Amino acid sequence: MRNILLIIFCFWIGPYLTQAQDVPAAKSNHPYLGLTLGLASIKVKDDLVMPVRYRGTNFNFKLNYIKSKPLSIQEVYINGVIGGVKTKQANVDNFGSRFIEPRAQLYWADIGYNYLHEFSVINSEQYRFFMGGNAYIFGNVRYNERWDNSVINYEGALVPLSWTGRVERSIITKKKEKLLTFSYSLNFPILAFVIRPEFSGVPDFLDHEASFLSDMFQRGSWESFWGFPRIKSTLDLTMQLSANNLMKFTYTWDYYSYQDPVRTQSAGHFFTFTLLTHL
Amino acid sequence: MRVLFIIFATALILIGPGCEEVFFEKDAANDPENSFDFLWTTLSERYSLFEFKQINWDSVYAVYRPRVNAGTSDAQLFEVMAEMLNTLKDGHVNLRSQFDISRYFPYLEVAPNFSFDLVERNYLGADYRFTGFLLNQVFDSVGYIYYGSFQSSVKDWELDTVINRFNHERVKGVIIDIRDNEGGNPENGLKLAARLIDQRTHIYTSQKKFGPGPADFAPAENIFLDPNTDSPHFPGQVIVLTNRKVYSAGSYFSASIKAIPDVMIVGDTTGGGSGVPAGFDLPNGWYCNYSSTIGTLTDGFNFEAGVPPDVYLQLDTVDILNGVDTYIEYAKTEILN
Repeated sequence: MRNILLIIFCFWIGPYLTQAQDVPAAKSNHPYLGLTLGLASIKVKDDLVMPVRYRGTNFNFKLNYIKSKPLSIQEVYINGVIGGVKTKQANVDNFGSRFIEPRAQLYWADIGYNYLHEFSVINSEQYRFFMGGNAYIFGNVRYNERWDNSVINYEGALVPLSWTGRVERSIITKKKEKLLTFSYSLNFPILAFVIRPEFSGVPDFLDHEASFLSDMFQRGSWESFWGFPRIKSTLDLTMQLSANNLMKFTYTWDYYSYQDPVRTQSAGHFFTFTLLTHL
Repeated sequence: MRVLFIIFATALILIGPGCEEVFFEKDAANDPENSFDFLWTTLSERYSLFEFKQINWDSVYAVYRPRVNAGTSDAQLFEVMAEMLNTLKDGHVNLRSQFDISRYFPYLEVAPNFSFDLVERNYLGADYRFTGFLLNQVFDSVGYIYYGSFQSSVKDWELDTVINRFNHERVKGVIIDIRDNEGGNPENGLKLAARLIDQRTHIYTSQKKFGPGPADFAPAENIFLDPNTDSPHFPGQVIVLTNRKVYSAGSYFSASIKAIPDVMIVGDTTGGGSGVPAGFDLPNGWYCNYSSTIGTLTDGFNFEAGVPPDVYLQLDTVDILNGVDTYIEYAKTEILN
């Protein structure tokens, strides 16, 4: 394990720290490849099967490709959380071999594309303002054999249009070198196609001709923001490294709810560290 | 401005974890009274068979709710909940806790009408075949299959093997014995049924509860089965044997057999279990299963209480003492005649 960490340090993190600092070029074309690792604290409450919250802190990873142009930022990303969530009872009660405790496996994933356009008219030397959109596919799946036929409990969403606003504030030295950038962004869906289990939470396995996937999509419905309110609030602290590489600490708060067939709510706090390699 | 931004960022990180508390509905309280009320209310909204069973769920509440208070122990609460659930007389309704599982077994009230030991000693013999989970034998020019649980899956090639054996040994008909089959995956039964039909057949009808109101049911959905035209079919007259312990997917298989004109069911009414089981957690960490659908035969008969046989039989006590299975003997006679 120590050797693996050493290799990661030498070949991945090390070069970012040891090379001489270059002057960043803030407003030219910059493609980046990013790798993010972190922790995600997730809470889920779905009235279909869980009257109390299932919660857990899990491993979070993200891969992204960012293209930063003078007036725009584009990003393609895949963000995932794999782990478990459980109720308070799972911590305090004794569970036998037959009675399965209230602890579910959790799979949370976002795959999407971001486009942000800079509003140069209201920008200053220190502040940059962006506005744009985001299209993504989202899934939050809980799996617990305790739930028998309702073993898979989920929300899924295809969001072809969401709104994103972002403000950046840079700390610049007297020599006009950018040291740090704070940014805050807010995102919420405008239009979403949402899928959920049906009222009983059980797939239609009596009809052997029915397909689980096609049934799931047939039950889906198009929603506006009010039908599928999801708020993603992100705070970034970006540091310039050598050769235009970047290092980023991020805190994201992500919350959504959906009312059909009964209310489900989820929230996540994501604390992550990202290395963005300049390509 | 810089100070403002730093204050905003710090506040966001510190306040963030509490943000969703504004939006999140509070957890259901974990106390005996609330757990009882949650169980009763959720079932009142989701259980699909109140009308069929003519149960006044409000009156059930009036009987059992006074027995629960803030000081009720876990054991007492379980007992009251289990008693309340058993008023539904539904094998798909049970309450699971760390120390017990409540249940309703309709077959305990009637004669078993089956002994595997009797069948194994006197009909299967020592040389019967295990083709997957299909126990099969040929005796007196009759093919015999025992399929004890639809939780054990059957492969198409295993069915091919058994049917080819029956064809090779020129049987005059086949007995499919599903006594004591308490269910599992309905698709396993349909693999057998698809070898019994020559055309697309309406096999049963299902209706889902889709909302909290008592009349919130989706339109009834007719379920069809296509014949398996690529594989061999059962030869000759086919007779299915059932008893009261045949339940859930076992009853669904029996329901599909009722829709096939040339196949006969002999034995006792099945245990029923037409409601597809679904479930939910309780605030105290226990778990409850319930029936979420209505299942009917093609003629509209709700088989929650069981699929009736075409020929009703009881296992004869004298026969049992003589090593004779009354059901198998009847089926044999029917096939050979």
